[in-house]
Amino acid sequence: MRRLRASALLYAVTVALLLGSISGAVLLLVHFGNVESERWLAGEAALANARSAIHAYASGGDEPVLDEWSDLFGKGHDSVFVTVERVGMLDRVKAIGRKGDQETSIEAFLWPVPAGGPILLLGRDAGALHMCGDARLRGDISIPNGDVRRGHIEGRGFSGERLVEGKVAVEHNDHIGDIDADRYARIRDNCSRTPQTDEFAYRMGEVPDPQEEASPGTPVLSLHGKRTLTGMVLQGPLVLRCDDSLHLGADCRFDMVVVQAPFISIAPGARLVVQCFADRGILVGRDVRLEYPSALVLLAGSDAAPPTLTIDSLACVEGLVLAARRAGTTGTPPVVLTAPGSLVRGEVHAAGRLQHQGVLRGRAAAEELVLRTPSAIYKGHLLDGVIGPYDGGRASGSGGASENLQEIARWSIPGHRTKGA
Amino acid sequence: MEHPRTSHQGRLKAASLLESVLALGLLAGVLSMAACMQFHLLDGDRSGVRLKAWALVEQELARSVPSAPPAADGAWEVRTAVEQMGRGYRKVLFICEKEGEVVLERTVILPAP
Repeated sequence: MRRLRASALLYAVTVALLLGSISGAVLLLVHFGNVESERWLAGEAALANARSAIHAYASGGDEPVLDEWSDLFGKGHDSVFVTVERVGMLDRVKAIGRKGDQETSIEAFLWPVPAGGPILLLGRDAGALHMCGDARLRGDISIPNGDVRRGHIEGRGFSGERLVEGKVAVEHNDHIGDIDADRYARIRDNCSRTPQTDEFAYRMGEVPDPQEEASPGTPVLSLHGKRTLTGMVLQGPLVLRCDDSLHLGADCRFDMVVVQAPFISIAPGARLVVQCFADRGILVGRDVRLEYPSALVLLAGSDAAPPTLTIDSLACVEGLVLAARRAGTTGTPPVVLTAPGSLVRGEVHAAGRLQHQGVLRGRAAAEELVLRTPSAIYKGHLLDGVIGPYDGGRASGSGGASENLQEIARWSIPGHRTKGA
Repeated sequence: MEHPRTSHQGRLKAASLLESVLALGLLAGVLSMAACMQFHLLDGDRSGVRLKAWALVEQELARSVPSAPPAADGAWEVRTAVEQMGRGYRKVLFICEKEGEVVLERTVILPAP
């Protein structure tokens, strides 16, 4: 039997092909590794651009380009797409960044922040300010006549040494009750419970189909009649709308939920992140904690009885407490009551009377301070109430003249996508 | 001329000197081309360099306030330029260089510290 003879050249070609294949494979692997690195970098750059776009919107600098692709830095390779939606007093800003074939989206909730200014502003008819008991003013104040006195009420004289631990500015503050047009429109729409044209409404008991395409807007959960909610867990952004009084139980767990009802009460001990909008009254029970960014907003109409926003003792509100008057109405101005032991971190804005006996870290603006006792109502008295500057990095504003900052209250988890995948 | 292969011979014999030269040349060519391509790819690959540059910029961002003097790390250098924007925000341009060559330029908008 004859055996074939292999030539050295044939072996060399075989070995060369083998070496070529191995080298090619190594090269391809290195190349794909590099492509993955570049994709990762492009994804990170797209995310950074999306974040920058949200910061640019929050900065209020140049007129923001919304609802269309734009070049963020004008260099031709930083495409972003920004949309804004109002969720109560918050702006929900969604940005998509695109770099190469990578797209990254992220959402942020923007919250207005006051930029310094006095810790207490009173309207032009406020009269003299009487400091009683353990009342303290730890910062600059702005009052119409600059008259701050030691008061004595219900057997309680002023216990401090200095009446005001800051400067007293004499200003008439004619427009304490005024709120800028944009902010007022938000308050009016939410307190009126006006359905939006593009809103996506559910009724209680309906379970949305997960296969259904998500609505671009914030979903609305509608309730009818007087309701008491217990054990309900809601993850927002979501609007909970009721056409009658609504009571939120202590075991409810709400996060980023907007509640719209004529009257809202929150049971003692509840822990929520919620924005409440009402026009007949709001009652926050004892030991309730409304975490940042929360808001209590009351818009008074033409009712004869003054609507009241009450924060009970040991309750804590981080965000905004606002009681305004509906434009063009002449009803009784709203009243804000903060009980002894309560804590507000942010701003209290009352286009009417403010009875403050708790602790406020931020800023208070009111037409006048009052103190209601079982026997009488005393104007211009601050009993045991403490007002000092905000002691954290976050605060809220109500639309006053000094508001000029917006900060990011919360970021969402970013989502990555490869274009065409 | 026949050269039957036997088990005790153990290796192949070239048919001619030319064939041997061609075989060795082919192998040398393939090996050198593979090495050349590998080095070319590694040399041309900027992703590793860019990753390092990105990490250096992230370190600068984590420091919150961009350093006034440029941050240097051996052959690397990160320079920053800050432009104030409205309402408490700033635009920061990071230029990351390696041995004087610009590797990465990155602009971000951040809240002012």
